[in-house]
Amino acid sequence: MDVVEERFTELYRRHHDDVWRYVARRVIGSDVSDVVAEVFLVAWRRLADVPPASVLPWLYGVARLVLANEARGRQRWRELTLRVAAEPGRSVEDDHADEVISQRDVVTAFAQVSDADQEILRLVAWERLTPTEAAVVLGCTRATFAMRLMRARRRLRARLDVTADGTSQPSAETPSMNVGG
Amino acid sequence: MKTLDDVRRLLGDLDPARELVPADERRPAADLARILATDRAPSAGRRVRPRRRFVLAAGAAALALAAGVVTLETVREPQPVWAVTPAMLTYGPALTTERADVRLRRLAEVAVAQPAPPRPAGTVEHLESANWFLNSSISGGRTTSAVVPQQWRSWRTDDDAGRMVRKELPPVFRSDADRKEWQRRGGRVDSSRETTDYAAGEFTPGWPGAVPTDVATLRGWLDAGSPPGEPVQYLEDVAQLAGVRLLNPAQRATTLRLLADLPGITVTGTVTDRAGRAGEAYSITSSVHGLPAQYTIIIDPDSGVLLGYEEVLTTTAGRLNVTIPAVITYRTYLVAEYAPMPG
Repeated sequence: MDVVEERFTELYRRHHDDVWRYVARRVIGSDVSDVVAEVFLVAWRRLADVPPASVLPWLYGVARLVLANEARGRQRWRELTLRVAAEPGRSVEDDHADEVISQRDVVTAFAQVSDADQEILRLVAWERLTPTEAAVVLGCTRATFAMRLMRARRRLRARLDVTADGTSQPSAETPSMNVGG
Repeated sequence: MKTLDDVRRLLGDLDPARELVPADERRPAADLARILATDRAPSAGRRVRPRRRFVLAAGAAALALAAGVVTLETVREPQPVWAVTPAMLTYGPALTTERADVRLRRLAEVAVAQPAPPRPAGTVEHLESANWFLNSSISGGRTTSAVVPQQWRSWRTDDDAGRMVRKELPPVFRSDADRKEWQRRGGRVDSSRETTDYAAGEFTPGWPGAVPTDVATLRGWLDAGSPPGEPVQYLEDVAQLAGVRLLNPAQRATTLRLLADLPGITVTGTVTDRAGRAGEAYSITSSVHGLPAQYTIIIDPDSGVLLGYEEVLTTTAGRLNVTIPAVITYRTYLVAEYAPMPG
């Protein structure tokens, strides 16, 4: 194994599971591993371009573009939505206003914000990226990402307020699905 | 950061993959072996799974590339075709032999001595700029590209409400064949106009209130809650700021002093900008976003006003179908004044 292969193998072993989870959050079924293989194939062919300080965000950026072309990215959320809808009421501790929010309301509110907002929120909440790292994924400056995050969070909060008030949802038992796929 | 914490608290428990692991334990090792057996060169032929077709949609593709996100390779024709990019600016000798930091501090003194812009009652910040971004569409062995100019006009109130009007002008193609291919893939060829209205506090929420007039405070303010960035990111932030906020003389001087403090900033020379104005150029060359690129800001030596911003790929285009050096982004700041909010 030459130096390049060793470097790539190290990269692959270190980041495979994180990339796998990134993809698994967005698609379901056996396609996950296919997409992950595609991501690392791109990394193999572009190894010289992988920024050493932001390897994982760079890989997420590749995965994002792969998924964008697959039209499958929302299936995972549909599965989650249905699962949460079927569960007895769980709640999210929220010290925003000393209140307890229904997890179903969060799911419903999340499903109602735009695809772009959802991805911004996922990168922070699930991949637990910093704004600087998330900016690499989305190909923007960190200041732009910080602004987008604030707007996305504000819109999620606004939807949450409406949903929790029950003013826009005919039934809190079945979270709405405004997403396709 | 309050926003981060709030988002994580709300959504963190809903992570659908937190407990998931690959079902087939042997699959990762098998994929690794297959990938390593694949040519690293992007030639046609041996791919792990050649069943997918990739399309980079028109939009921010080139920006994404420059920022370190990648293009997705596909089976290509033997001879790549090259995208049209805006003409490179021509840089002449600097006006003085001063170092960039010394000269920028001198320009800051020029800036702070300028009169404040007049503000009639009832007016808001009004800015106008011309912005060019390279857009690429890569798919199925066929590469098409275009330069898409945008005109941005914005109005911002003191409570950070506002309106942004982005007018996308027709893209520039090399040939009718490229135009047809672009259309076939859903790219827009006609002029479009997008108007976005922002409620109070929403226009530049990461950058609330007045632009600081102390360099250290300005750096922290530009960070917008993020950890401190690379030097080039502050240059990019200043370029972005100049496109969305009207700077008074003291604020402009502070941005110039911030630029002066950036490690790696150099004098690029004198230049006539894309609006025909004389300026001085200062650059940082960095590969922090992936591809090596030169990030340049252009300043009016008579007033310290920021005139423009350029991003140029310097040594490699990665998979981007442009010849090096190539302009991939520019901003030209045309108007910064107080004006009535449009109805």
